[in-house]
Amino acid sequence: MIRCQLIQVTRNRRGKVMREERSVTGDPLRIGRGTDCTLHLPDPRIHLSHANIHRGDDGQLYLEGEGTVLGVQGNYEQRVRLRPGVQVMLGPYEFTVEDASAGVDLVLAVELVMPLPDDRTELRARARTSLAQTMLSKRGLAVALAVLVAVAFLLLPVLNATRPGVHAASAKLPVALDASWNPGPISSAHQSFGKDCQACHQTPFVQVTDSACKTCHTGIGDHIADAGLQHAAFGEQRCASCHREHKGSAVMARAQGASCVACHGDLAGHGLAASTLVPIHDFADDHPPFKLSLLVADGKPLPRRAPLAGEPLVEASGLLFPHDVHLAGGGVASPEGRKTLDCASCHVADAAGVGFQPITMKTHCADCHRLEFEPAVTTRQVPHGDAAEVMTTLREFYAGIALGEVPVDVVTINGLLRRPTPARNEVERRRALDWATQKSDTIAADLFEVRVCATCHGVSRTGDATVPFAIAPVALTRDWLPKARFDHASHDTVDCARCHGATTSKTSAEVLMPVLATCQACHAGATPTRGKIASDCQACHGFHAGNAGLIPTTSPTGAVSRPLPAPPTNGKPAHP
Amino acid sequence: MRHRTFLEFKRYRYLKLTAVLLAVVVLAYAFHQPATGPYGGTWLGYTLGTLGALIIGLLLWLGVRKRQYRAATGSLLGWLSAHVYLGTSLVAIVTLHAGFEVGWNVHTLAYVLMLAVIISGFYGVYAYVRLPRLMTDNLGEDMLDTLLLKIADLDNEARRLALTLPNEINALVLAASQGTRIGGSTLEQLSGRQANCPTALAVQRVITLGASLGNEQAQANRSLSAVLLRKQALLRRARRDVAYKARLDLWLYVHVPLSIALLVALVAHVVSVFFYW
Repeated sequence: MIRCQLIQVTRNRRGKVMREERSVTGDPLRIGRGTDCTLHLPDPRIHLSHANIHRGDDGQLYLEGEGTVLGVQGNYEQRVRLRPGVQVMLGPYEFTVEDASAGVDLVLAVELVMPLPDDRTELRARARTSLAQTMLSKRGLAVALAVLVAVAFLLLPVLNATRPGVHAASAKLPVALDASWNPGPISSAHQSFGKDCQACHQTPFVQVTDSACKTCHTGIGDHIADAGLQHAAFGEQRCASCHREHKGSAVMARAQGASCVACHGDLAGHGLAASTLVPIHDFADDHPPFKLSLLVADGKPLPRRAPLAGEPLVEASGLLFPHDVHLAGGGVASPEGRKTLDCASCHVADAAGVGFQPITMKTHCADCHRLEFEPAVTTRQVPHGDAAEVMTTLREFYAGIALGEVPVDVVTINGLLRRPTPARNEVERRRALDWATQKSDTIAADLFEVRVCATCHGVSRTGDATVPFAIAPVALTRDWLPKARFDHASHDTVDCARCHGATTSKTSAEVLMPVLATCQACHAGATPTRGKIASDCQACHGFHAGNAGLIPTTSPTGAVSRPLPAPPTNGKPAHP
Repeated sequence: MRHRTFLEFKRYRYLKLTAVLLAVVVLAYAFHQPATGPYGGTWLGYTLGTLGALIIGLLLWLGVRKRQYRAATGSLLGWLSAHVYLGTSLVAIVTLHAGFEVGWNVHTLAYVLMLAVIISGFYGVYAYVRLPRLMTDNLGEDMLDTLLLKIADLDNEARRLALTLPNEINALVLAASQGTRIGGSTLEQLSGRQANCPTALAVQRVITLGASLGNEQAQANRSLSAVLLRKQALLRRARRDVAYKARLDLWLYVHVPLSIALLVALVAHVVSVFFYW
């Protein structure tokens, strides 16, 4: 039988030790959670039957775990000899063997040194009931995203634009550092600039300047030739005010239509009260009559453009050409018999189909209008275009015949010429040449004034014996409406006669240009109209023409042409 | 009187204001016919862009305003009401600002971020309208802390009952009291579950093990089972409360960071437009 004095050690809140003593006996002394144990330890960390104290074979007292281990000075043992001073951890309990007193075998102090924690405190400590306690972080995520966006979409593009080194180094990358700034596809014409945004966007925070455009577009003129008026009307407007880039890869978008009428409908309101222009709002409503640039006399242009309304206009091209005769239903007489002509026989479309190739005597007239001078000889013609050459040809021809140097092709009709007998001496030679001169002058007068030249040209006498006749200069107007764009090819579904009254025109002085109403029969204004083609200003009119070409100039060949717009002078056009 | 939500603030004052604003914007867009096609660079485009940026600034200011408890600029409820309606109007205003143009660029990035913020905001409105009622239904008279207290008491009682029961049952009960967790990781909070919850395991095993016990112990074991079952029911409610709260909060973890990213993208958008003017 083991007699044990058990001391229950507790501590109050201030740490003061309280000892409660009682005696237990038994052999062995059973220790456990079970209520049948001698040493009852009511703690869930203790087994029902946790350990026992028994007397060993050597007569000493031992504490032995029953399937459990005992903590002795940091080590784990199965069995511990209980001598005074020994401390053993049994689960949360600390057993201390004290000096034995009289009448007992063992004095054992038991203290719960690791009490169960407070459940509620523990539960709260374990609980994480808010997302703020997890790894999620609004601030962290916000900072990460903000830095990412700032670097990729702000810092890198700015560096690319401002540091040439960065720009050069990033050129090898498949995507430009500022590609993310591109708001839309650039037009195909400008795609050759590639990733080089600075080609147009030359200075940060400054709008694309006209000089950037005019680096390449050197031939573009202002809207108004007068620089002062141009500035008064357009102020600080730029190329890009109308021509918008990044609006698709086909062509640049253009602000158009209504903007023309904004000024042209209210000239006074735009500082242009002194303008001679007629206010206009829509092609269908108040477009003024067409004004023609044409020639008035001897190839001299009209000093101002003539409106195609009221009195018929008279053109002085210097050419006599009745359209009605040439387009007559039965055809015209030609060396090969009768030949039926139509408009295209002479007016051959140019390569672009917009206008027509120049009409020349050689190509279009000479087949019928042969320049034969000797009625008896059909193989010889005078050259076209130079009266002096004509006279030389005539004189050489008749002198040759008079001197007996009869060309082969004239031999067969030799008898018809009634020339003097071939010269055998100086006197006869002189008589023969006198005959030739007289013959040439007679033929020339007939040729110039009656038979050939006068058919088409005005002929006058010069009083000069060498070249006694002069041909009135010919100048055909090629650009009647230089301010407008007219594409014949896009009108090829319309018969020529619908616009040009050529079949009844008896003289070339008549102007065969269509009047406004002719166009308005098919073209509506900017507002779509049933059965008509909606046509805004720019359907016919360009913007950049200035006043160039309004008054035609006569070119050396006699044809009238419009000069190209003057090259730009760095934004400072000379004041006329 | 019925409780007024932020949606009904002052008889839908901000809903009406937003409706008028949208009507003006849509009409202006319908009558605006620029030759280049509508986009951010026309006068209306710049106007709508400025309007959109100002509204975004106002909406972001809610984050500052809600921390100013003594601010005099209207009630916070009014601010929230305006925040929701004006935020929704941005979908239309900014889409019309862009003229329905999108591309792979910083401009569309800002637009997409804005849409993401707005959509997360829509979820937030849903959560604020729907979840508080579910939370009240779930908790009843209790608060989460009260539930924890009750659970702790049950733990205590369960351990006491288990003292006389076999070691295996006792260990299960001890583990259930020491290892059971409310909430936890993001997923655990949102799902309202704990993987391998020790209490659930204890409930299951205690009943099974109880079948082989003697009379007296069987009685204690039945009491223990009842206690554990009550604990499990309380746990379920506590975890559901945490899950609701997590759902009430989670969208803000999208909404707020994306708002900040949007602010930066908006700055990049504006800078890029005027840098390459």
